[in-house]
Parts: sequence; C-alpha cells; structure tokens
Amino acid sequence: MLNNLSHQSNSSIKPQKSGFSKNNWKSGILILTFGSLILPIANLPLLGSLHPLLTPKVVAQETPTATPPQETKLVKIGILSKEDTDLTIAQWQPTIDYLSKTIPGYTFELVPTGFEGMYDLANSNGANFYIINSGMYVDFEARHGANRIATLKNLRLGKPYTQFGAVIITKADRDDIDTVKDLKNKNFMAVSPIAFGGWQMAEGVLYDEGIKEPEKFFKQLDYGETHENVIKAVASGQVDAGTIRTDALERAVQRGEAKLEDFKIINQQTTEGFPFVHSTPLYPEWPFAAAKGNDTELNELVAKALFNMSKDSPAAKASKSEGWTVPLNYRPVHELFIDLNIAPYDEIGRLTFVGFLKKYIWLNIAVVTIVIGLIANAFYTQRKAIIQEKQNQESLNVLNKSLEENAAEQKKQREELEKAVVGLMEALEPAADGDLTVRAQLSEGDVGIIADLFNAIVENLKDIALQVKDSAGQVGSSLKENESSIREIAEQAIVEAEQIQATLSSVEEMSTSIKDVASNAEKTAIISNDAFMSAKEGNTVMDRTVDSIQGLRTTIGDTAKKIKRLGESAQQISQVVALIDEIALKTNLLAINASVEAARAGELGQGFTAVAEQVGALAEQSANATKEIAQLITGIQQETQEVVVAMETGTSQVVDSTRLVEATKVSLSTVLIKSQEIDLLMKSISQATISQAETSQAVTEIMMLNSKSSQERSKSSGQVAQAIQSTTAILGELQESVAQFKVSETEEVGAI
Amino acid sequence: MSSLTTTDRLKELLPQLFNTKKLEGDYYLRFQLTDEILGLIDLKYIQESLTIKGDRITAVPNLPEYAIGLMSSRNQVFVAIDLAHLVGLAPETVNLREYQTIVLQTDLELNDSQFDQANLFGLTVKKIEGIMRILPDRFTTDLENIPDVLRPFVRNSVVQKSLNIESNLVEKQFFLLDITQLIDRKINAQL
Repeated sequence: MLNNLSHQSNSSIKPQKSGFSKNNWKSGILILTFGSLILPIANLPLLGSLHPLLTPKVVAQETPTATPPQETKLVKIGILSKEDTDLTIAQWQPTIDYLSKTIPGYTFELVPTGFEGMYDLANSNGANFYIINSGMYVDFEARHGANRIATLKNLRLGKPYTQFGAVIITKADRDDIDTVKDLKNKNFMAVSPIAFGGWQMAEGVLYDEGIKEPEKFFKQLDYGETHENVIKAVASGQVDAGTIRTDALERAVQRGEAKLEDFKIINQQTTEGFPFVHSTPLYPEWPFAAAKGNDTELNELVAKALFNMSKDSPAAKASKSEGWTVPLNYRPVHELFIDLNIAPYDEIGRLTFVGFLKKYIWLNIAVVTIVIGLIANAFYTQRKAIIQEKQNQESLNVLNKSLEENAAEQKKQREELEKAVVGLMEALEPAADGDLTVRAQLSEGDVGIIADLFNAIVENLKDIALQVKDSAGQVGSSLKENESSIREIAEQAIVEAEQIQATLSSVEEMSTSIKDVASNAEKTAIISNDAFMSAKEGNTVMDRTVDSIQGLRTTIGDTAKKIKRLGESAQQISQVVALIDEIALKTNLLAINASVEAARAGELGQGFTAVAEQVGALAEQSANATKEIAQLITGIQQETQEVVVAMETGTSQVVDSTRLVEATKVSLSTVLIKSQEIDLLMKSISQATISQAETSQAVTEIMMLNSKSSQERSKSSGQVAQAIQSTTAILGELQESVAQFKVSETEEVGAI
Repeated sequence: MSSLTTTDRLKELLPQLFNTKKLEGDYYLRFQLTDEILGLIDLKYIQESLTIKGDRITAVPNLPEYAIGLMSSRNQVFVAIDLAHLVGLAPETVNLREYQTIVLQTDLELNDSQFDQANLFGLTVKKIEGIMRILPDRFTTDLENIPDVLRPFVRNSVVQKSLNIESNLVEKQFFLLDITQLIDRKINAQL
C-alpha cells in the first residue's frame, strides 16, 4: 500500500526537471560570455558544441502561444486531480457548469490532470484557468505569470475556512517524541513529496528548527499517498510519526477510523478562529488562478461569478466548500518555498558542490579548458626566451676576442713608457719625502722635459718652504701671547655673566617681594577702609544712642516731678484726713454730750438719746474710715518715696551712661581719625610700592639686557679663544708639514 | 426721692427719732484707759465730754501728782486728773497738745439749780469712744484679766463683740469703773 522514497522519487523530480532544463540555457549564455573571452587564447570551438543544446529551448520560450482559446469561446480550466480523476470531476463539474451557465458566450471545459499533467498544461498554455493547490499556484505565478482571482472557502467539518495548515502526529503513548527535534532518526511518513499540506508545510517547520536535510534527519522518510494512509501508519506503529493536513485527523475521527486521544500533536500551534489541531503556520487555501494573457474582462466575469456563488448552490456543495472569496495573500507560501528551495525558488539557496558541478557542467568544462590553454601559453613563452639568450651569448664572445688583441699591443707600449717613468721617479723619490735638494737626471725625450720641469718646481718649492718656515715661527710666537690674554678675557666675561645672572635673580626676587608688599598694602588699605566705614557707622549709632538716652533722661525727670507732686498731694490728703478725724472725734464727743443731756431729760429724752447714739456710731465709723484712708495714704507716701529714690538712682544712672556714651563717642571719633590716617598711609604705601615695583621691573629689564649682552660677549670671546686655538693648531700642522721639507744638505729630513 | 418733703426724708433717715419705744438697758460711756485697757463709766455720773487743749489747763503748784492742773467748762473750774496715773497704770502724767476729758459730777442728789455747788472732776483718758447701751444681765463678775491696781475700783465687766479695721470679729472686755469708790479712795482720801 505504501511506497518508499525511491519509488516515489520519479514523480517528485518531474517539476524540478523542467526547472533544470530551463537552467541549462542560462548556463549556456554564461558559457558563451566566458567563451568569447577564452576563444582567442584557447582556440576551442566551444560555441559549436553548446549551440545544439541552446537553440531549441530559446526558440520554445520565444513562441509562447499556440492556440488562442477565445476563438471558439471555449474556456479550459485545469484542475489538479491528486487521486481519482472521476472523483475530481464529480467535485468540480458543477462549478464548471455553474460558470458556463452564469457567464453567457463562454463554454467552460474541465481539464482534470495530475501534477505532471498540470505542468505540461501550463507549459503549453493549455488552460485559461487553474484550480490548483497553493504550492503549485506559487510556482505557476512565478513561472507562468498565473494570477489568483479567488480563494476557496473550503468547508471543513461544516464550516468554511480560507486557511489551512499541517499537523505532525505521533502515537499518544510515544513518550520519547515531544518536540520536532525528537523526530531525529525516527521513521517518518508524509503524504507525498509535493503535497503542500501533506509534506511541504511540515518540511517548513523542520527548516525553521534548523533541519535542512530531512532525508538525513529521519531514519526513513516514507510517503503514504493519502492522509488516511499516514494516519493508519502512525496509529499502527508502522512509522514513528507522520504529517497530514490540518482537518484530516478530525475527519478520520468523524468517520470513526481513528480516535483523537490516540495521537499526540508535535509542535502544536493555536490560531484564533481556527479549530483544528495544527503544527505549522497556516497557509491560504486553494486559489482559482487565471493564466497569463487572459482577457481581463473574462477574468472579471469569472471572478464575479465565483464570488456570487451561493454556499447552498450545487457547485459549492459538490466542491465541499462555501464557494469563493477574494484572493488571499500567498506570500507565506512563497516564503516557505524560498526556505525549502522548492521551485520556483530551487535555484537560490543551498548549492552543493556536486549540484554545482551538475548544473554548470559546460561552464566547468570551459573553465578547465581555459586553464589548460593558459599553461601551454606559458610554456611556449619560456622556451622562446631561452633560445634568444643563447644567440646573444655567441655574439658577445666574438666581440671579446677582438678586444683582447688590441689590449696586447697597448700593453707593450705602456711597458716602455713605464720604464722611463720609473727611472725618473726613482731619481725624484726623496723629493716626495720632503727632500728638496734632489735633482732629476736630464735625459732625451718626453721624460727628460718632465725632469727639467720638475727640477724647476723643486727649486721653487724649496724657496717657498723656507719662507713658510720663517713666517710660521713668527705667527706661532705672537699667537701664544694672544691666546693666554684672550682666554683670560673669556673667563672674566663668563664670571661677569654669572654675576649678572645672580644679580638678576635677586632683583627678580626683590621685585616679587615688592609686588607682595604692594598687594598686602592694598589689602590692608581695603581693610582699614572697612574699619573706617564701620567706625563711622558706630559713630552715628552712638549719636542715636546719646539722643535716646537724653530723651530717657528727660522722661525720667518728668516722671520724678510728677511723682513728687503725687507725694505732695498725698501729704495734703493726709492733712485733710487728720482734719476729718478731728471733726469725727468732736462729733463723737458732741454725741456723747447730747446723750448725757438727753439722759438728764429723762423720759422725754429717750428718742434723742437713740439719735445721739447713732450720731456717735456714725462718728466712730467716719473715724475708722479716716484711719483707713490715713493708712492708705501712708502706704502711697512710702511707695512714692521709694519711687522717688528709684527715680533718682535711674536719673544718676542715665547721667552716668550718657557720660559713658559720650566718652565712647569721643574714643570712636579718635578711632575714626586714626583709621583715616591709616587709610591715607596705606594708600601712600600702596602707591610707593607700585612705583617701586615699576622701578624694579625696569631694573630687571636693564639687568636682563646686561646679562644678554654679557652672555654674548662671553660667547664671542669664547669663540675668539677657540678660533685662536684652532689657528694655533693649524699653525702647528703647518710648521710640521713645512719641517718635512729638506732645504739644505746639512739638514736631516723630518727633524725640526 | 426728691419729691419727698424734708420731714419724710428725716423720717426715712432717722426712724428712731420718731420711734417712741423705750430702749432697754442703761447707758455707759466707753473709753480707752490705756492702749490695752478699756473702761466704762455709768452715764449718770457724766457731766459732759470734751477735748481741751493743753495750754487751756492751768498748772497749779502743790497739787497731787495725778492732777494735771485746773480747767474750766461751763463757767466752772475743776481739777483735770490723769486717770491712768491716778489708778497707777502710768508712771507720770504726760503733757499733750490736746486732752480728751470726761467731766464727772459725783453728787447725784443735786438738782439743776444746785449745779453751782456740784463737785466736778475732769478725767483725761487715752480716747473717748462713745456711748454704749448695756442690759444689766450682760455684766459678769469675771475679772480675771484685770490689772491688780484696778481691782479695788472694778465690780463688773462686759465682753463686747465688734469688728476691727480689718473686719475681723474681736472680743473686747470693758471694765465698769466704780466712780464713787475711785473718788473716795484715791481723791478724797488724799485731799
């Protein structure tokens, strides 16, 4: 029932093969380009060999259409039939009928075919529309310019979905498989290598996990052809895991062929609004695609008809969908295919060395040929160079022989001349050592003339040597005298310079200390000014104090006066009180007398006695009251006395403090005057120091000038001394060299 | 108030004057003998009370020591006697600017017409305080605090409660002087 990979690979490679043949002409163009560069050197007839391979394909591409379907208004719709063609017809014929019915003037025809047939159909432009899976659509879009006009609203378990994914399943009791990585070295089953939901989506998940070569990752990769087969294989344990499209498992469960709890979902994903288990991202459903070159009006009519298809219509029911919706974005499918290196993206991405060799075999042959040609060229050039060098060597040898003959003749002549010259030289040799007494023997010929001339020269030389000896002696003696005195001058100049330097530094120190003094004096002036100001302020404050104390004094004086007056009043009151007391006493006595008289009056005086008694009581009360008043007055008088005393003390204190304040004021004003004087003094000091500083600056400058000139003087005298020394040395040398000359017979050569 | 007549105002101010009800008790003159000792004299012996300046008392030679001099009142001349000195409470008589003097007349049998023959004495005291009405039963014979020199002339004493200057209730004991006894024993005996 199940076919393994090798069996399946034939059908799987087909679409890629068509891609490969397309690659060949591209490679051919590449080789042509290189070949045009190589041919002049390699001289290889490369184009000829390439040509038969290249031309037919190019021609095929250039003539795209063979049968325009508009002529008969017959519209062909290619439908991908995966399994059973009859089933496919049953599924889609109602849709075709619906289109024929809805769009007048066109007859739609169903062309059901498998994967390969569909590619052939596309290559020959055999259909106007395609109902294909998303993967194939992406390929068609890229390669044949197909364009989606609608996306299927696929009915799954009673609800329409425009997206689907894949699910990777294993048996629920397989504890060793939990993640995608756990699938390593396991038996895995997919539906088909080109099944989009049945393998490619899962392959995308594996790719995302870093597994680029699933055939090596799995122990074995089988293909089960149908989703049911994969489910069964996983359920029976024939394989460890498998992948199927999203709702396949749920459908199997609904049919009662499997139980959901028997399976475990690997890499389970959740998507809102999508109820089925899935392990991969979701991709758009099958599209309804229009072929390139279709009439736009036709495309519009078909799209309109598809969108208008009711979900209850027989067409929708037969296609197990709710009709069609606006086309979705198939970008995710493109991206997946780019990752998986699937057509149309099988050229980019993973290029192995073998793949490279296979794909670009002609390019490779060309490159090898070029390399061989280059090597041959190099060999040839080298050999040519060696031959040229040999020829050059031979001509050089001939030239050398003639040159040697000439040299022998010249040698003979030279030897003769040498003999004569040697004779002359022997005679004159002592002259070279300084003996100016020698004379050359005169002979015939050129050498004799030279000898005569030489004798004359020696004679002159002798005279010169004598003169030089004399004058050198004189110069030497005078130089010796001068040298010592100039050296003294130089030493003195150095000492002077040093002294000036020392003076300069001390003047500088003085200058800085004067500056310090100046700044200090300035600061002091500021401080004394501050003191002056505060003394001034103190003076004014003192004035105010004096004023207020004096005010206090007058206030105290007034108060004392008033208190005194109060005392006087108290005195008067006490006198009045005494008077009242006396009156009271007299009243009392009168009352007594009245009583006496009343008593004498007997019965008649009774009432009067009572009155007298009361008068007496009143008198007594007034006496008591006056006593109280007297006491109070006494208290007032005492207190007044105390206040007067206190006032007097206060007055005297005020007087004292007035005097003190007065004294303070006087001393403050003295301070004021003194600080003013200090201020003036400080200012004059400051000015004096400033002028001092200026003067010292001037002195410093002069000293600096002095120092500089003395330094220069010292330097120049040093230079003079040095010059004299070198002159002496030169003189010595001169004398030495003159001494070498022998000017008389008695003298010995070199003895001076 | 101003609408009232003078009589009404008098009645209001001095209701006792118009009250003919007899007052209970006998009248006594109250005085200070010294600073401490207070005395009472029955009003029936009193002729009058007066103050007299010192220069109005004429010193007379050969009079007894207790006599300050002679003084006159109501056309009568009599001896002014220092009472404190008389009873022996003060060592000697003092000369004052003014004296408070109680004029006694001891002969009670005389009527007004015989006033000229009356036997008068002027007793100078520290201070004459006033008239006091005392019911007879208030007198006691408690003479515990009495000085010995006074004992012969004092029969009874009375304790009077009164307020002093500081408004404190104080008890003062007054000694009732037996004038006849005093005069008989001290003056007549020596004369």
